[in-house]
Amino acid sequence: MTPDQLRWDIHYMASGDEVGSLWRELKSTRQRRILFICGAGFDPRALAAVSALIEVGVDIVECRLIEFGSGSGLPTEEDLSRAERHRSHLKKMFAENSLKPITITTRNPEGRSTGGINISAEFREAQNYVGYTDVVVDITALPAELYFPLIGTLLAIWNSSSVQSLELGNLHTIVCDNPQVDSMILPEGGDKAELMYGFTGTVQRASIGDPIPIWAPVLGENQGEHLQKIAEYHRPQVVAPVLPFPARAPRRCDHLLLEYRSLIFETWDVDPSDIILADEQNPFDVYAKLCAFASDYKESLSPIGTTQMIVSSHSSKLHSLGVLLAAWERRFGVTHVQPTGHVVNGSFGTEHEKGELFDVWLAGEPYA
Amino acid sequence: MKDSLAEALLGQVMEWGETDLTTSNTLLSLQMLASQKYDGYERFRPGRKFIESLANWLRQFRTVDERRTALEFVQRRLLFISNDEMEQLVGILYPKVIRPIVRHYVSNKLGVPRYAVRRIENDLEFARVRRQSLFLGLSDGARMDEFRRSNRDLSTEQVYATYEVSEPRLDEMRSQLLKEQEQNDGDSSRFELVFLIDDFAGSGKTILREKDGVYQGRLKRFSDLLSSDSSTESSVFSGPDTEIHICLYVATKQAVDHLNQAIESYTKVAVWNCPPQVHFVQLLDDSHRIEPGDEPAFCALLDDYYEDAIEDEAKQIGGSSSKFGFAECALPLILSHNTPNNSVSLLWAPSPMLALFPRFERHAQRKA
Amino acid sequence: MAQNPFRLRASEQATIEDQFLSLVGPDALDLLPKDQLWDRLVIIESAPGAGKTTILRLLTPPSLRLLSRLKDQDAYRLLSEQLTDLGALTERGPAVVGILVNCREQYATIQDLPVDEQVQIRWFFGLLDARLTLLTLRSILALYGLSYPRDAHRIEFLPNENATIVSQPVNGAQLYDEASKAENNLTDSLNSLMGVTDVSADLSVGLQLPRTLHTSDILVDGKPLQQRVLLMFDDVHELTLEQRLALRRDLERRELTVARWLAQRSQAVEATEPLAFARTEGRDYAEIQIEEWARTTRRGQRFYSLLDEISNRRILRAQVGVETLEACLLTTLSTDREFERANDAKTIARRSAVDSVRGHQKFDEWIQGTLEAEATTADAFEMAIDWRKLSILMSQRLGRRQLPLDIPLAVSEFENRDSSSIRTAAELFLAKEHRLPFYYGMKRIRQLSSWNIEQFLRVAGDLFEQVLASVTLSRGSVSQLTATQQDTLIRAVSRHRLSVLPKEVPFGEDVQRLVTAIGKFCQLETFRETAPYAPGVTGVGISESDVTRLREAAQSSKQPMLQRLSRVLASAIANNVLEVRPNVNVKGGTWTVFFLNRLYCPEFDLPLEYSGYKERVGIDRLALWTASGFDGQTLRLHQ
Repeated sequence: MTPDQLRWDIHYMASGDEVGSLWRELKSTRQRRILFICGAGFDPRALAAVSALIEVGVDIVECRLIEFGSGSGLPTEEDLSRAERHRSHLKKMFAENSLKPITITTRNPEGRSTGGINISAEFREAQNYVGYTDVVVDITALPAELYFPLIGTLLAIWNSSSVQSLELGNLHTIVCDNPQVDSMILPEGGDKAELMYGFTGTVQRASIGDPIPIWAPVLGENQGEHLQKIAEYHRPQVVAPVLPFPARAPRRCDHLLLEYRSLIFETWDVDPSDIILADEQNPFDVYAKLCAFASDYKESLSPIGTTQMIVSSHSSKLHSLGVLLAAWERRFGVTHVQPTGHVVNGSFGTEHEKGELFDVWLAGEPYA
Repeated sequence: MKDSLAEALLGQVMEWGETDLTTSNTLLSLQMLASQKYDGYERFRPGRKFIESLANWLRQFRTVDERRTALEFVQRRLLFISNDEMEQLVGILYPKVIRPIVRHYVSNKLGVPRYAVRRIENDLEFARVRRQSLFLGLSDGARMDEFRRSNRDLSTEQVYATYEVSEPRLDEMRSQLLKEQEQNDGDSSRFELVFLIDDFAGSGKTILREKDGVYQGRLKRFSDLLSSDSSTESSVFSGPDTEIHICLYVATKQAVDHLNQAIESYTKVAVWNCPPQVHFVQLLDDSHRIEPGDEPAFCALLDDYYEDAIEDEAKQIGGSSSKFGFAECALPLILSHNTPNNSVSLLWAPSPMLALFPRFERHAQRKA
Repeated sequence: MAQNPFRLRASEQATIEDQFLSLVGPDALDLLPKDQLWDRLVIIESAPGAGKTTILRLLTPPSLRLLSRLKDQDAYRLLSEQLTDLGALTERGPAVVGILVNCREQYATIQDLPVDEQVQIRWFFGLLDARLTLLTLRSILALYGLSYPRDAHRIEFLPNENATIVSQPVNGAQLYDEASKAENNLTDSLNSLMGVTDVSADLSVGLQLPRTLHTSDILVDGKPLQQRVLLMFDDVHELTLEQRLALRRDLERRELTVARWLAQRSQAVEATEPLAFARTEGRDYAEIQIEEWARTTRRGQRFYSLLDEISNRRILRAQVGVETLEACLLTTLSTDREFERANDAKTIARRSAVDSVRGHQKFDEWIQGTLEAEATTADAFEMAIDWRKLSILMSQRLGRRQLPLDIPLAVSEFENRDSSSIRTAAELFLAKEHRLPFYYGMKRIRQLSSWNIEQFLRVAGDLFEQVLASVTLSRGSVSQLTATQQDTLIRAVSRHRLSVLPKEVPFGEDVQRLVTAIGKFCQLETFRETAPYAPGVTGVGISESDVTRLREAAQSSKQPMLQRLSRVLASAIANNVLEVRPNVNVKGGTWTVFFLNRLYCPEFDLPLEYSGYKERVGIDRLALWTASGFDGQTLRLHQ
């Protein structure tokens, strides 16, 4: 691959009803043996993907349920009972020995984020994925500080030359997208910006002379404080906000510009030509746009220094996946502010348990 | 006019005396959206910009309350698709919509699963089908030049600004195609896929409409071309097997529904075997419509300040007055190169008041 | 509308040095103790946004070089003089080469690796040492205007008389290669998604660089480096407790001749040491607490001058024909509506003062005196305050258990009680009762800063935004913001800051609940008719034994309510939501007082002085407030 060629230039993604038909088609080609990885969180959409697969009738041989104590945050009664409900549903769906809970501590007693280190270590053994036709990671109910290192680790395994001899199957990520639910879950607090474990790029390396930090935050609502913390952390010389367009609500772009007007145009003094538009419904568009942007800047600034691309995601999980892929492939630094918990604005009903499913296929048959 | 003068003018029109949080915020928001988006409206006469146009537009309302209603409407509902946003839609039409269609077509021919994307794209058949696809603009707004430039995979010989192709041009297309495909050992010299591209469909009636059993519109005209072509020996298209795809950068749900329905009934009498499919990049659902129930105050202004004089023949096709826009689409939409006549009249109609976003009338031009 | 200069990157973020220098005022340097800077460990503490990073950055080569070039320009003269005074600058140029290393989380992560503790601490020192070495090379090259890393070979470390063992000169390029290799190895391994590889074999416990600097002379192009080397460690609170202690121990070594400063947030607060206010006495290091420096009465005024200077520098940049923020703000009532309200307030205050003591001759002279004053003054607002003040004083008298006989009190006695705090209380009462503006004028806007520059800039920026809007709307002429405009805006900012707490700080919902409860409680205490803590109550105090209980509860899960409270207090303090004053001695006891950050006061109509707080609130009550909000109970029983 040349530096400008994108690993996922050709890619496959199914959305909405296509997800069901994709899996029916997969089932018809050969017997599936699926390893399903998902979170046991309070997100009402937690069961949407697994239910959809079971409905298709594919064989989920094993389900790894990631239990992540919010560490120090205090979940509400309602959150706890919903998480418990999800757990008992899953127990009904799977035979006892095929449901494997895995506990990941996301904060150590001193309050530091440890989710990344722990989840990466837990899922690092390549041998564990042999014998499955498909490994499916449902990130719907996982926080970014867990699914970034998790998917990063899996991509590293699938990509590693030392495991070429192993027969690894398909690697999918699934996400249930529902902007309404996203807007109801507000992250609480988070006192500092930090680099995501495994996604540090070359940020902070003192051996690099005159690094030029360039930061592309993928914008979503209600993130002003987190954005400021990240900006203070990196003191970027170029800020390139990524806005969702096209989008379900095409005015969303305007709303975000208005919400962050002062930050974008005053504090960061963003050059309007550095504003990046990316398809809200397509992680591969975010991915392609970020990679292209970084290459352009790297090339044009090469006479005066080394650019250091930093990305952060403040938007939907779908957009975050694009950020993840770009960061993983191009070694961008990923920065985030880990919240201490979540505030649910309103209360969830059955309409919040569903959404549009996206199967983002990362490795395996499409790329053969 | 200088920006600061335009802002002072606006303040006077709105009778903002003492500033408070709301006025300074309104001013800053308008200022930002003006410089980021609205000032790029191509139909503003040279030197005139948004804030000035806004102040002059608002001034025409008789009372300050009416002006507040109108300003608040602009802030809350106006949907302006900027040139950058349009470019983004043009840029992703090919990867998001067209490339998967071509792949799907090839996967059926090859009998491989459609998710085997790399296999499909690496197959010679894919290159052949891609070259035997024709891209035609349905109007000036289709930005076919830009479309071609953003897709290096396409040849200049397969992208045309207009769907009304002259016979000599058709001959030329064919011979060019023949020449290229012979070099590639291709066995066909006809276009198998046709993509009809347009920037916007509000009602869909310009593309296809029926009155008393008679079909009219651009798709009808293309269908005529197709049938006359298939009756010649040296036909350019694949006759009734030609797959037709209508691709819209922006479409309302109303237009998509109308087109699907109109195409279905037209297919009964049309030349093609399988009905053309409608695709879009940015959908505007019904929530964008300006309904009297949601916007009583602004709709009262529409009633008060509407004049029948702006009716003309073209609008009669829409089947109603254009107070709520052509075919009562009731849109708050402005495209950076022009305002669709499907938008509510107060935004663009030249009388009885000066328009906020003056519209360039194609029909009027033609008559003159 | 012109660009708002307050919204430009804050000084801590400024990247272009001259912009940065023009944004920071020189007064900030006053807090550095001139005689203790270079020979011992210096610890600088502050809340986020108070400007410690700004100060450290001043001493790095790019800033000092620039300053030395611009030292004769008016804007920089004072700053250069101060730096010269401190010994950081001379006529010939920089006298210090400051090496700034940030201690953010990459180091702390080391301690989460699945390797044993000894290896962890070696990794920590290994990485820090590699970075320090690289940054030292970079800073020296920057001082000479050379290119990093290209010119590293022009630096040489030559063993000097301090060297105890015979060693060879080391070339900068060689040092660069070794250090960058170590940095790459350690960070790669630290962040590898495929697992760590042990690279700690040749790492030692402790920093090597300070020792190298101690035992070598540095040559650049063969000539000795003239400047004093200063190692600056920023954001030390980001390290783990073990790392912090190890680093402190390492840097406290007296035999080190290299200057070294540590900067960290006040009270490095963590779950395990949530209220570690205790300080080691008899220490071998100098400690500077920026807020403490700022609020020490003698210097408070200077802090305010600093705020003025910073804001005025920014305002000049807007170029709208105004030079100071103060000039944009009206300091008296001015609109018809304000006058109308003041008049109503005066009438009502007079009536209720007169009515409340009907039948007590005791206050006749006071009332008479005030009536006479009213006859000669046209200022309705001042008179309203006088009347309201009178009511408060009379209630205080009436509230006493032993009412002396009804002998009229002399006017002089009234005037004696005419303290500014009662006056402020009266103004506050009137503001609440008659919707008169209270939060306006430069003094109160400075008070709203809570000794934090960043916070001040935000508020000043909001105000200036409105000035800019009115400049625009009036086509260029600068009009001042009225008292009501200022008051409305500040109340809105206060409300907004409170409402976004859950999003902004850890355990934000709890913090918001606690702060709201404290605010409401203070409001109840403040607006009692006798104004017992005039001008009002803005904080709560807990006893020493409560502090101990809280510290114990923090470390075990036996008392979940208190554990939760300790965490919430820690977050609130670390994020400058509550300001803590340990060891306040009053009423025969020692208290730890938590004041509301001043920015939350307007939401509860509270004064901005730190005068009043309510002790004996007790942590159980605070824990209850944290869990379920304010219960509406005052503390009358404990009076």
